[in-house]
Amino acid sequence: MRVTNQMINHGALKNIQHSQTRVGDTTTQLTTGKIIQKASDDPVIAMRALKLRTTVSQLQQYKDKNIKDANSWMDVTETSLNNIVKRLTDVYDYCVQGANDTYDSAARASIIDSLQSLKNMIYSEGSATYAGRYIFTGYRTGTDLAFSTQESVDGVSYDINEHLNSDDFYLKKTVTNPMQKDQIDAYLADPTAYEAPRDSQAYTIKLAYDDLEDTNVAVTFDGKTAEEAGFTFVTKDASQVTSYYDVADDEIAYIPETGELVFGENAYIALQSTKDIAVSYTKSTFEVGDLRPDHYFDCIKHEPQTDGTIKDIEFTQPEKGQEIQYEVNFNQYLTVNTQGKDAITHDMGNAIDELSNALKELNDIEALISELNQKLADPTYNQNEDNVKMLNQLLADADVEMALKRDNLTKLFEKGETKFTNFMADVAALQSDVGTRMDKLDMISVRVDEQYANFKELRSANEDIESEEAIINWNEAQVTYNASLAATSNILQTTLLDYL
Amino acid sequence: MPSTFLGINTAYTGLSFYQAANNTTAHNISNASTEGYTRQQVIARATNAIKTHQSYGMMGTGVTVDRIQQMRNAYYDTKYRLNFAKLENFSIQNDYQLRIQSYIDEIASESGYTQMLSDISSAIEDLTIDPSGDTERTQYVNALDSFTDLVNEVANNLQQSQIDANDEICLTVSRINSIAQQVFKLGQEITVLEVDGTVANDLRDQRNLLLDELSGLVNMEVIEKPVTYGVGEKRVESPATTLEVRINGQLLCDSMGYRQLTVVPRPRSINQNDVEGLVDVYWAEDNGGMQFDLNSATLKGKLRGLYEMRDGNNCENLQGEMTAITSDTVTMALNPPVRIQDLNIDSEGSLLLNYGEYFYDDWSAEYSTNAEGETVLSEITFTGIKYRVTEDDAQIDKTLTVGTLATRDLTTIDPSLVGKPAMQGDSVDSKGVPYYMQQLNEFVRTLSDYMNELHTSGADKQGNPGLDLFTALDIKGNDFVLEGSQGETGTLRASDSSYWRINALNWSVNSQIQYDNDKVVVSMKEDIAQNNVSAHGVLDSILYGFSDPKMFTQGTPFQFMNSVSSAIAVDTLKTDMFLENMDYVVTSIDTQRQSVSSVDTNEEASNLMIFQNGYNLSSKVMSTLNEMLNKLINETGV
Repeated sequence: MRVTNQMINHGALKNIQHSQTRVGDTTTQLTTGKIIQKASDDPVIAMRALKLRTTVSQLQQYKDKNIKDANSWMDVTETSLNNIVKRLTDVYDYCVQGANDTYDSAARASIIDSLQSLKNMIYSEGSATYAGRYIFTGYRTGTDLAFSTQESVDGVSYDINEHLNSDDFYLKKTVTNPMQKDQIDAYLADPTAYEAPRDSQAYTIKLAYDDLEDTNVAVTFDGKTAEEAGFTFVTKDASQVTSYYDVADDEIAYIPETGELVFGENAYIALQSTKDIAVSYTKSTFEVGDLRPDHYFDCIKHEPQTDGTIKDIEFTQPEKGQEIQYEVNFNQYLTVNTQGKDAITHDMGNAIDELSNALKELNDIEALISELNQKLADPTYNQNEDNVKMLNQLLADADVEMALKRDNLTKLFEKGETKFTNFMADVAALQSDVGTRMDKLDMISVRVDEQYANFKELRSANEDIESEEAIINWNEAQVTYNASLAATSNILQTTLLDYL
Repeated sequence: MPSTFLGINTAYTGLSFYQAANNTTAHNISNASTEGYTRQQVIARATNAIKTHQSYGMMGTGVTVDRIQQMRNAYYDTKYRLNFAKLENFSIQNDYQLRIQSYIDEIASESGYTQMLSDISSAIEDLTIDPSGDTERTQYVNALDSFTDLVNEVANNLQQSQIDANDEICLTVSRINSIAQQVFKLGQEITVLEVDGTVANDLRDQRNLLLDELSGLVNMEVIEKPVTYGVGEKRVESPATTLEVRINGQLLCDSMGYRQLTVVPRPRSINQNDVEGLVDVYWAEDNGGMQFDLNSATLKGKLRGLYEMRDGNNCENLQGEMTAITSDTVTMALNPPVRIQDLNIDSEGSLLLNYGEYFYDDWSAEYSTNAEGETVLSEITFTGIKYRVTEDDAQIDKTLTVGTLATRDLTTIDPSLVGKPAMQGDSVDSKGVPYYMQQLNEFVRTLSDYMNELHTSGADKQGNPGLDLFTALDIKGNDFVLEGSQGETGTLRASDSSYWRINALNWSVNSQIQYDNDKVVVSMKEDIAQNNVSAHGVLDSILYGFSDPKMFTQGTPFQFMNSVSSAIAVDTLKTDMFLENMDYVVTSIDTQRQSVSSVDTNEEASNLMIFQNGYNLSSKVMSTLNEMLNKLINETGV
């Protein structure tokens, strides 16, 4: 074939361009560190790269966000549960002492204060937050467990549906017709109106709240009303305060003030194995520190609005509680929250209130006895023989009442020991549940870290160049390019004319 | 006995021959780097010998230039042009594909859809961790917004490519026209010059150069025929030739004249997202006004490549069969039925009825629900059918204006249309802008439908029913209020706010949600009512949706986008390889052609020596003969 300068020129130029392109390609590979620069360089690598990148960024989300966040959440929960157990232990310690020892009235007064503040501390743990969100309130992370401000309780009322069962029956020992300090003068003036205090007991069920409305109450026992079960249902009012627990055998009494149901002998016997005692009642006076019914009961909240209307909000409690779950690995979910209603219960507060009430009553009767003794020593009273006789009678009765109450208190402390041991055990169970979940999270975290490292490596292996290879390729390309330049410049320089 | 002075004469022919030879060498050397120049060679012939009437017979009388010949092989020209058309076809396609690929550049870019979809997932997960968080809500809305922006941008870029391809088609057509004119004029000159048997070498070079260029624009063939005189048996051929040039089999120019192409903007678009003013190519009115079909299976060259990128729909245009016609409506049965998200016709547009071009004002479609629960269209009725008035129509009916749209009773033109095929534009077997646009439309419609259903099932922060998460903006920039299909079956109209309205260009996150992130739905109404601010049932479903392998036949939204970007990558790679192949083929043909035609300076240098020597010797002969005559005349016998 005839070969001309032009062909050589064209060919040489084309070849230079080729090797220049190769230098360009290898340089780009070296400077970007990537094998391919655009998808069409190698669609297979490209598509694999995209998938791996997505996986890596998803794992990064688990690693840096979800797992960390879950961990912090549970950390806060753990601390909070620890605090609750500590407070419960404090109450328990009082119970142990109280069951064995006798406190004097000053000590009792200070214990009452301590118990109340412990109760407040336990309830306020329910407002523990993580990143501004309440951790114990299920999905209602914007609502605290207990009312914390005056505004939140003003004008608010709830229709509450509480479900209890036969386990909630307990034998309440009280004193009927307790002597009352401000009535002493009345007793002296009219001894016939005086009725001696006496020991009484009745099976009682304590509702979650006290200070309830006396209207709008309904109780069913496995679906039957008291009347259908053959009993009379009465609502006691404040005028009957001295005989709250004095009920007829066929009677079931509702005491709005203390939030109790009291059962007559026959009623208790007939109903003691009831599985579901459903009580619906209304409460419209809440205090700061009370637990919000939102988180505990199926209830309807009536909330006054700024425009004067009332907004009704209906709350329901799902059976499993409201579990907040984080995705911590591909398709792996971890519950991070602990249900506040399992950790902090109305029973705790009520048990503490019961103790402080009993302590207070004992203090009251002691004060009453010292008042009577003072009156006996007082000439305005001890000159009158009837008065002296009556005072002595009162004193004797008061001693009996005090003995009863002291006995009640001791028993209450003894029961308190068991109760608070149980409470602690309940919370401890939650603690260990959180602990288990944190352990699980730790293991997942290790695995996610490993996966993250693996996928990063795979990603790199897929799309990154090996620098040794790239440098060698680049050098080769460079050498070829230089050679082609040198050769071409020589070829183009000379023609036959140079030699003629 | 020859003349005493014969030798001088013979030497003289030598001198003038070598003069001519070196002139040609000079011409060759001067044009060594002229594009399209063909090496010329002086062909020598011994002049007629004369009878000497001597025993030794004839005596030579020297040399003459027979002709100056172009060293060119027409076979290589044909080969070259055939393959150059293919090369240019792939080359322009590759050009556009690289551009389209760069719009969906996932490899180099850190902010492509891969990143965006990851961002959305992260934002949703952050939001599930704290559904009430204001920052998280904003982040979520922003992530969605960035993604819709990305899709809009890709679609806009695709449209820009379509505009560019269209402009290039116009330019290519006008270049073809100009070449046709120049080739015709050169042809005339050449014919005149060559009538007496000379060869117009340099004019032919010019013409060949133009034809080479033409072959890259559109596939063409050249037929060279001798000019003939006379009639019937007395017909004789002259040495002159005429050239007939055909593009894609249709005559472009011959000895009688040349034809011109013209571009005519489409009155209405074919695909929903086509830019306005895409052109079709017609022969000029003077040249018959027939359409020059860019979708012809045999068409090659840059023109074809541009057309494929501008109009390529991978044969996924709407196709069906006419089941009923009235005077101005056509009902078209779709078999298999078409999903709403795959419907890419404009509200008023153009369509082919039995391969004839018609236009419609409006459409309505019958839909039903298929076994997969998707809304599918089984029948579309186009109303207000019109046709474009041609010159002939205007001749018959003077009230009509050429190029405008007019109505005509369909039943009278062709009652047999029923049963014939109807389709939305041509089926172009190539993945061009309409194809990718269609893919993006399917993506945004399916995703919107899926997500809106979830988003509207829940309630916003205030407990109000959820709004559509994704909408489209109408011309005024307001959100469409979208309605899903109202029942199992029914009628969908072009004017309805169905998901057909959403496309890759106008897709956006509901502006009300962007404006007020309280309107983001994370959970059900019951949860909102109960202050369950950390419940996120709806959000979970949305997050799942983004990784739902059943959302598309291709899989998850990410996989769908991957299938789009891998389609373009694979296509680009394919043309890359074809291009490299064709480049090799064309180069090697060109090398062969150059091997024959190009000037070699070494060769010319050596010729120069040879001819110079010849010239010197001829001079020598002359002076020698001169001396001989001097001897004879001045010194002999005096």
